[in-house]
Amino acid sequence: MRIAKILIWLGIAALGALALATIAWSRKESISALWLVTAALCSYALGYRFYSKFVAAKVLALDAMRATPAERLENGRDFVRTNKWVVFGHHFAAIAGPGPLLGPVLAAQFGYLPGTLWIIVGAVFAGCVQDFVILLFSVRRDGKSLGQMARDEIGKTAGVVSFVAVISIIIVLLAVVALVIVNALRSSPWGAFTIGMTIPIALLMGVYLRYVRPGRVMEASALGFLLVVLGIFGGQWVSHSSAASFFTLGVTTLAVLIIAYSFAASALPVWLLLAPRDYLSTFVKLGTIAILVVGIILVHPHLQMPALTRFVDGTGPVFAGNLFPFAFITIACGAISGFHSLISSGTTPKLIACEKQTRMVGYGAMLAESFVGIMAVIAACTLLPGTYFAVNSGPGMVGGSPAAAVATISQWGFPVTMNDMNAMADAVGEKTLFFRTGGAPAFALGMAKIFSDSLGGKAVMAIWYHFAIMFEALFILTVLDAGTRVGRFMLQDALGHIWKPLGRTSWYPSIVACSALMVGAWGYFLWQGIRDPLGGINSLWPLFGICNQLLAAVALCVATTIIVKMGRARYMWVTLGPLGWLVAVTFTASWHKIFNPNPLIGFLAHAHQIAGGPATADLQRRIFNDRLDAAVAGLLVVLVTVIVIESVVQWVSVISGRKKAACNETPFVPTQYAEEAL
Amino acid sequence: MRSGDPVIGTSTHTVGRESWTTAALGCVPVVRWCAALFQTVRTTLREIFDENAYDRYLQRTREARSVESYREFMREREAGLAKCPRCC
Repeated sequence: MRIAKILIWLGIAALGALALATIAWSRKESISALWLVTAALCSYALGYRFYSKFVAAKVLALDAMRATPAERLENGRDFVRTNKWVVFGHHFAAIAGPGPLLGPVLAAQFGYLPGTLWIIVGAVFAGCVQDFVILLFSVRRDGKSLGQMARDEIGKTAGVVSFVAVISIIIVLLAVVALVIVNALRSSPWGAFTIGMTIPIALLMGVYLRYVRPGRVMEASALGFLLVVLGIFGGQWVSHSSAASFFTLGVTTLAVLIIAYSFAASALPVWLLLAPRDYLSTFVKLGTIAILVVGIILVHPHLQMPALTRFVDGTGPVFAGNLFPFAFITIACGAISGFHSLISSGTTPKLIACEKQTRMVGYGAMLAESFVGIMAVIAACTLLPGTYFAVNSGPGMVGGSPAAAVATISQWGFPVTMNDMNAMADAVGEKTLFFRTGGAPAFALGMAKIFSDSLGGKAVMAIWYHFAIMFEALFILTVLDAGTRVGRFMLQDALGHIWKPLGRTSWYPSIVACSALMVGAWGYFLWQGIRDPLGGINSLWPLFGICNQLLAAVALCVATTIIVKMGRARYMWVTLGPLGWLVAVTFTASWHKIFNPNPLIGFLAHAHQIAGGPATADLQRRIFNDRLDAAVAGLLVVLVTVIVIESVVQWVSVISGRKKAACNETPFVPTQYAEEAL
Repeated sequence: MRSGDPVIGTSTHTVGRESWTTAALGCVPVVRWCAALFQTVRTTLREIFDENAYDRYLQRTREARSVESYREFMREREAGLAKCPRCC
């Protein structure tokens, strides 16, 4: 039996190595997407079986006999002992958003190889480890948040830094996802109608849940999903009717509508819009991800994008910057995302029934998320490279007109014609697919191609395309309204220290003021993005990536400090390795974004370049925006430097014996479910 | 539902149905396994969609399913839902 197990694992390792070698060394001919799927699944299996087991046993010493907060503090509300598979699903639903879909699509400009390797290696050795250790440390501290753990284990400054990092990441994240949705719906009456319809559908679900069939959420979500599908067909009809012009919206109108919507969602009662939309989005998300996985495995398309493109030198049209460090901040959620540490120290630790389950939930759910990232790489790379670049490049990067874009992209060695692009736009029911930056339309095209190949053929490609757009937009609108609300609560918490009434979450003037502040903050960056001739994504996505990965650095500082204080300093490399990598990546990326002399990369160089033009108010505003972006990146780097230094001081004190190794764990209480645990 | 059950999040209704399924189909291992899988998926979805949370609320407060009790449940849950982060 033991020999059979060894042989099976050797077989998995050999298959994984073969798949990785195939994707790494194939250059001249296209390869099947199944090689990526095989490489990922074998690596995940090995990572879970061996590395996570090592971390669980040697580094964290998981103790099945220790009662978790869900047992000790059980109240039937926040603290509830829950089946491990249920917690796994709950945790996965919370960590899987649009990030693992969009980041890999944007990074595909470097070719499929860098993104795929980073998603697999990053997840196994960094992202999963971060989610796992933060979840376990939160479980051992009564479900405390990352900010509270940073304050308790590192120092007060660390607590303040994590607060600022979280607020910054939320603001930049909301701006960037809003920009993605604006670019996806621009001049698209079909898309605008379908997404517009999700708002009354969510309101209807809210009323249904509250007054018609109280609490029957799955029933209401299924009904909402059916209505959304009807909305997709309705959008097709609208796009061919006289009402099409009414739903053909420009970027400015879309931005204003999205800002107004998010303000309303933040200020309205939660049952009316936020909760039903969240349910609807989760329903669509879980279903579509499952269909996408099945579709890719059934169709196993060939990748059209080369393994590596010429843009590894930093001249890419999707976003400017070298492979290192920009590929590693562009892909966050599929490999490692600081945002996950907020969820691992939020709802999930309060549901864990036994410490040993943190491995499956923390490490395992992140592996599943990473697999979603691999699906996104495949969806983007099944497109012809010329089409991919025509869709994803901003007008300022490839010429101001479609004809100029076609000429520029073809000149790079990625042939594309106006006829190809027009035929593609026709096939998916759009007027044009040029300059649709942000990743969402390219992902939708790839997904529609895979879906239509496996179900329905070319005749239904437009339906699948708009289904994919609706799926992404629904995700994003949920992130927008929930994120604005979370940000509003955080602001109210902070402002309550200055003037108590501002901290009262039921006081309407405070609700309105803090919602307006939050919407104003991310709305400003969104406005900046839609006015940017380079497409906005070029500036905002790297900024978002930097914020997110810096938050991961904060989480890994907390984790390393706790490991050292647990007296397990010899294993600190488990979190110190990813931390060192993230510090190198984010600090280098920040340096480039601030000081790089290339105006397409460096904010200050860009400000300097445009300062030479005629002194108009618009120009002054653009210069100010560049300087603001540089200041945000610089501030975050300084704050994280402070937290890293403070952590290093703690590690040195403990390791050198000047300080006693003791952390702030809740004292051990034996579980009453020892039989189950064994 | 007994407090401290290993599978928290199932309503009494669900537990009843699970017992029936197991009893009726338990003799065939594959069917039994499929039934268990279906139950787990169903429970997971009910947990994600807060249906189990509402059931727990009804048990805790000994109220019946109604417009009023759901309104109270949502009010109690409002802060938690609104603060719940959703990843990018």
